[in-house]
Amino acid sequence: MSKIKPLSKSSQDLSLLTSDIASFASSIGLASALPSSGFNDTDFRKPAKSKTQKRKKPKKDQQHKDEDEEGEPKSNIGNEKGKDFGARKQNKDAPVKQTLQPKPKPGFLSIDDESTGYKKKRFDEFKSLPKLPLVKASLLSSEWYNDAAEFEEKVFGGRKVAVANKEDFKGVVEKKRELGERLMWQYAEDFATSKGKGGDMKMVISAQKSGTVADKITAFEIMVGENPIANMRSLDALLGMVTSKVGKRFAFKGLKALSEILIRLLPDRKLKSLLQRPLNIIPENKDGYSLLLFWYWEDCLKQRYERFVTALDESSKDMLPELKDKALKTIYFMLTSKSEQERKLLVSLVNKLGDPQNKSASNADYHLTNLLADHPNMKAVVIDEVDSFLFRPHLGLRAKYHAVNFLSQIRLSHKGEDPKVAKRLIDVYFALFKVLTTEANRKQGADDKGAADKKKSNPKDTKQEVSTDSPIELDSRILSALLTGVNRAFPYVSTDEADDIIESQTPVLFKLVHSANFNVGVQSLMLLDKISSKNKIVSDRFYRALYSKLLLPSAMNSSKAEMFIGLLLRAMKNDINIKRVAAFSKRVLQVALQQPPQYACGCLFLLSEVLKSRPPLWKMVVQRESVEEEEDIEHFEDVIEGDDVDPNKKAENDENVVEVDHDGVEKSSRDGDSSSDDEEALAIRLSDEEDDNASDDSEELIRNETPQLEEVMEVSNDMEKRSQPPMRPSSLPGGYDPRHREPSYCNADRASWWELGVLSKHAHPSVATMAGTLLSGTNIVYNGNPLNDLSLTAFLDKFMEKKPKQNTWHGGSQIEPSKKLDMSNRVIGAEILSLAEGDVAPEDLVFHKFYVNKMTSTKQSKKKKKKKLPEEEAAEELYDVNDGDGGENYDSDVEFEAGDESDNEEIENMLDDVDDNAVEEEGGEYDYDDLDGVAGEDDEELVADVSDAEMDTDMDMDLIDDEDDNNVDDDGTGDGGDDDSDGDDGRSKKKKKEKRKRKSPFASLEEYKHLIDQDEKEDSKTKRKATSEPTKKKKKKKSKASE
Amino acid sequence: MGKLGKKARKFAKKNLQSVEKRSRKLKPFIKKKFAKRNERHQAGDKQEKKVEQQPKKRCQEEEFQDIAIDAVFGKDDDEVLRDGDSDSDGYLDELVNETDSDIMKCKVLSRSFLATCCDMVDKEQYVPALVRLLNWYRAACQYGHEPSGIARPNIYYDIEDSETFAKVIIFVLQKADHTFRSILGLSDSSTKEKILKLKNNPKWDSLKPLVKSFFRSTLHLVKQAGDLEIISFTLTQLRVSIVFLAAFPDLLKKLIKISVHLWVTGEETISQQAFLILKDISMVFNSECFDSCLINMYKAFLHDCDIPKANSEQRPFLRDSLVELCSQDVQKSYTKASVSITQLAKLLKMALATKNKEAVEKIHSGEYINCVDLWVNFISANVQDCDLQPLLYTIVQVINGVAQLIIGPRYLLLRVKCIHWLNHLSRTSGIFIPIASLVLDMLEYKTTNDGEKQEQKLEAVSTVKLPKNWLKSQNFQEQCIFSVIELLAVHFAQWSFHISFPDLATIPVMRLKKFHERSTMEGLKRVVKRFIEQVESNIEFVQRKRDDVTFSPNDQQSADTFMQLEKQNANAPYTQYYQSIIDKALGTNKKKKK
Repeated sequence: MSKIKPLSKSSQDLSLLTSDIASFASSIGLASALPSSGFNDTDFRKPAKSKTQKRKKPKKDQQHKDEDEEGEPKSNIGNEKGKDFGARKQNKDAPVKQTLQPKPKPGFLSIDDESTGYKKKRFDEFKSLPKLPLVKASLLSSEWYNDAAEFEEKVFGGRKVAVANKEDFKGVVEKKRELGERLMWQYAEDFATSKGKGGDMKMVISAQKSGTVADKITAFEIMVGENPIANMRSLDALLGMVTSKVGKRFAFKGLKALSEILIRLLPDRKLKSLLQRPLNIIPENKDGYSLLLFWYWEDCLKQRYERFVTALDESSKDMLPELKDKALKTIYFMLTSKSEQERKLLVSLVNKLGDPQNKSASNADYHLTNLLADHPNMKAVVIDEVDSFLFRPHLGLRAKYHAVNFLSQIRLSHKGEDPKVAKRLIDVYFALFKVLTTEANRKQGADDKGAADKKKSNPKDTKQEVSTDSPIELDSRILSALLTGVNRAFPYVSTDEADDIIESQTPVLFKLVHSANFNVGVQSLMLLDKISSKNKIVSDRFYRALYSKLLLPSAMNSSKAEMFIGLLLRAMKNDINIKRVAAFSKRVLQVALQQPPQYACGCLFLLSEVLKSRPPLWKMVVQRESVEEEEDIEHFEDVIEGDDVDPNKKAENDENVVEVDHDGVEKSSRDGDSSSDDEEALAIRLSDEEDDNASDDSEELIRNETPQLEEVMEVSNDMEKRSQPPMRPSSLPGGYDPRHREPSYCNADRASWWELGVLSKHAHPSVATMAGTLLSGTNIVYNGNPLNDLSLTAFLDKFMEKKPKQNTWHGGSQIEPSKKLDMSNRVIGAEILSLAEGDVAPEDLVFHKFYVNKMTSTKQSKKKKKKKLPEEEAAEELYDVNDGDGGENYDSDVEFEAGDESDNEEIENMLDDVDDNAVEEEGGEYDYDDLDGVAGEDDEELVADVSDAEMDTDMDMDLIDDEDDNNVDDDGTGDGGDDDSDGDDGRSKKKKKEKRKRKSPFASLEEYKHLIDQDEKEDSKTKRKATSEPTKKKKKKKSKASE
Repeated sequence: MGKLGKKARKFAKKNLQSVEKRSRKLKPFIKKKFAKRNERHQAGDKQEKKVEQQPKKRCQEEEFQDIAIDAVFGKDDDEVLRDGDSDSDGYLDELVNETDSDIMKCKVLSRSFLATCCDMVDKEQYVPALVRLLNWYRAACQYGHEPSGIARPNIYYDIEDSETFAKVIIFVLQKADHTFRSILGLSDSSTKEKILKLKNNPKWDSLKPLVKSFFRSTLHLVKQAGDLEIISFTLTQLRVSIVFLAAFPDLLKKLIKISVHLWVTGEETISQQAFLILKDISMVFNSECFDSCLINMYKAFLHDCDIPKANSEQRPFLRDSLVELCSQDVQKSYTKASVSITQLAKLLKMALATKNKEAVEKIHSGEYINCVDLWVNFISANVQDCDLQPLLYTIVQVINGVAQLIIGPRYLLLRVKCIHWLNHLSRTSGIFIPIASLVLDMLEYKTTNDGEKQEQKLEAVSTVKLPKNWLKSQNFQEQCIFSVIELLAVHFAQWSFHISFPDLATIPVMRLKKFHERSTMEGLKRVVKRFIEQVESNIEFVQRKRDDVTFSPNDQQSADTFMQLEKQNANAPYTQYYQSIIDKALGTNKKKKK
């Protein structure tokens, strides 16, 4: 097989080639003919025995030769120079430009025929020249670069050859380039004569010349696949298709073909141009020429690839969205698979984030995320690129939003470079934030009243006069994305750097806290909490802000409710000031009284968790309102003496005193009604005072934003101590003041949790049960997310006995792969009967009863039909009588239902009629997939409300997850990898402890094993694991529990 | 199907069941048309037979106003009457073709004769006289509706003058029941069982046709009479003899249908009378009757809701009477209610899921709202005595869903209604239903004050959705605030003596204060201010009392007895205040109705 006809044609020039080299060359030929790659040990392992024996000798030879060559590079150079000059003389008349532009004529969809133009002349020239010794075209392996590497190895023997960096080197390069061209021509000729004679090839060639576009493309593909070096013209033709400005349909087809070809052609390293090669030391023998050929080819390929990338970039900016998408995909594809031109590719990919079309922009986002998943090392580079993209002038908000969104989705870890990356990210975020705010400033300066639609929410601006104006949608979204990003990245910043960030950024965050948008506020509070928990400095200001946030009606309506509750829990648990915790608890209870059941449950559960870590709070439940003074209470209320209105309680004394005091307050505030100016002044003065205390510069804002002006007034009056005769006893007797702005001064620790009394009468059974549980002095045990489980939709789903369709979670971030799995865990319909009544969750009890009735009634009716003996009837009657008085007895229903089966049907039928069959249609109407599709589209729409919510929730979930991680870390576990298992252990222990445990209606762990396994895999990759839903759901609870 | 070939027809019969069914349905109509026309043109037994046959088919889908239904019973009538005819005197021979009522050429029934008949029946329970009387009664009932004299050429009953006419009817209606009973030897209070036992009584066999005839004629009268007083009187008298209907299930069904129809469509008194009948029926007879009453009424009620009517004040009566009926057998109604509420929930779910216009419209339809209204009232009427917890829970959830389905000032009325319901449920059941946030959200409606004062009252709108231009009116804003105050007042009034009232009211008061600051309308500000003051004084009061207590929150019993004494006397200023607001709201509602 290795019958290389070595020296027949190159006899004159290479007389120095000896027979041993010929044999060596043949052995190399053998190696190169092997399909396997590279000049590595596989070559030694793989071939059959005979070959290895054969090889051993050449190996030695090679070593010899290497030694030889080592000795004589200089002389070689000298020789070469001479040769080069000779060669140059030979090609003297060929213009240099020609070589620089290997493709002068962009022949569209045709190989440039050798019969045209000066190229032909050149080739004619080449024809006239003697043939140089060269590797045979037919011997090319499937990966040319392996062959090239082999030749390199052969020529230089694996030494590193420094590239000469002289000026005159260029000249050498030019010469060699010409030589390379000649060699390539010769090579192509060789290919044409050897292989091109085959029938297949002929057909292919004819297809190239006269075929449909598809044919031509395929033909080109085949040619290039056959031997890329010899068929560079085919490659050029394909490139021409793509770069051509004329036909986009060619571009469509060409892009795919070309990208496939190029993926095959490109090595895993970067391509080198001729300039980077040690051309001056290349020997002028067959190997040398062959190597030169390969180098030249590589150079050509590099140029072509560059053109291809340029073309890609261009078509990614095309008008046609399809072409754009295709180009984008190809860019991503090329970028992930090959490193050549990665910079350019990356730039154009990042650039697509600014695409005016949301779809393309989010595609770019998606591709970038995937890219980082494939090549985590590229994070820094990509972030830099996005950074420079972000701060381009005149960049639209939308583009910024997409960019920030992408950045915030980057996965981070504590290992390696990631802390630095995180730091970098945070810098970017804050820099962007600054830009946004200054822009807003400028805009506001430009036109005072207008710019409402584009206004960035800048608390500084909105503070005074426009504080009621809600920041515009887009704006809050980008802010929210920014904050999400910061929240995510912050935990990964190394500690010392974190301090700097805190130092510089806290004021900004506090401004954000008071943004009119609740979500923004919560997220910044979240971040503040994170910061402060890291530093162990929990500022009063933070708590005050949080406390006031509780009052906002949107607190529970927003998509961030879950996050907010999580934040509250953490804040309350970490708080050392028990009075403040008490104040928070009271207010949480009051909020629970106002909100829909699921939030009430959330609040109660939150309190239960707080109670676990703050057992002293129990006394607010189980003890009467504390009247005895505690030593750490401020003593201002002890000062004044008062007449005993209620003399029966001895400890009441000082409270009564305060009552007197408060009478004055009441009175004065009543007076204040008439003279509101006066009050206003007082209020402002007071707020000033308070500002002094708390050094809070945004105090005024709080005052405006939260309905606490009244309270301020009262306090101010209090301070005035305008004592007046007690008209009537006032509330707030020395103790709890629900309206105080500063939670630690509310004296909430003296108030009992009377709210539980009302809550235990709540219409929703779960709320009632939870409140009852707390009242009985035990902790609530609940494995679920009340916000989801008890929501109205969940209720309706259960009511309809409908297992919600399992919707596939598409898109989404990698951090949060899925969150909708939990629906499948529900016990639906008659399945609920498998549980004992005691195990059924309170909110499901209704259904349980319902099905119990249903089951027994059907049984009974059957029985009845079967045999209707008089005794039985009598017994039934008796039964009936018994039921008459016992309302609790559900068998009575059964009895009735037994007779009513048909009636039920009738009613149902009738109702159906009445409803115009609306109900019947429901099967068709609940296409969740469709809905999802819509939602997905919305997701990409920056303006859409819905997507906002969706996106936000994703992030929430994730954030909570994150927190969990962080907390475990903070607790000193340190090792993130163990988080999961730790959590699980804790959970199982907790489970055992459960008193009122409900038998889990959820599927067993085994069913989710595959998911968990998946997680583990992911864990190994990154520290931050994306927990699958079932664990996650519990985990969320857990996060509340454990924090 | 007429044009199809034989094979095609065969195929259709085999495979297109629905077509077959429809054609079956259509046929009687067509035939009936012919029949009626024929009836007019050619009298005769032949024709009669034909008429008799069709009704059997028609029985499947009998309708109220369908004359063909009469024919069904007409056939039986003939039998009965023929029996009686044999006893009648020679008046039968007289045939008069002219039916002009004023001329009355054939004086078949004279005043004097009637008097004697009545006398005989009244005093001696003389059966032949009764038979004759019933024949006349029948004729009177059918008067003007039956082509008299033609259908039965050999017998013809006519009535002398309007006085006689009235007397026949009145006498029969008044005395029939008593007469039947005395003939059968029953007391006035005999039960259904006794009636059923009559089967073995030989007297019954002879009397049965008479009773049947009486009912049939009466039903006809009720259905056809134009005069409200007659109907009303008839219904009243009919009530007494309802027990006899146990023997005639068909007639019973018919009566139910008629009564339901009257109940829904009739005037106030008739409606009431009809309801009383229905109630009696459901009380006297077995559960099946109760069900059919309930279902029919329910259906009719909901159907009625769709029809925009001028007198919408009757709807509460309908609802209340239906509730009353349901309350008779709570357990049975319970299952009906749960089925119905499931339907409501289904619709709600659909609306929530799709948010498309039709689904939402469905929620806002009068039908849906009235259905909710019905069950809310049912539950609140019975929740004290029975365990309706599941129903309560589900309906509260549904109402909450409806209230939050579409948020916006345009749906203010619906929301107010929802909160009313919740308040109602909460008050009657004693459970806590959080409404404050729902109410207070109404304060946030962004309305402008620049709109000129609108003349119309909001309540004039029958639709749930308000027209857009109203939203800007000052009137609307006032209405918003007044509703808020009213709803909150109801809510607070319920809990005003509860130990956790101070905490309950804290946040609403805060939000109201905020609104008070923000608002620019002086009139509204004053109202709000006053409300805040009252609530605060209430808070203080409870707080003061609470400070004295010695028990802890987990002592539920003590907490429940807390301030029970104070609750009894409604002299507390804020209680009076709440009451005044509620009364005022009621007053304005009433005023608006008028």
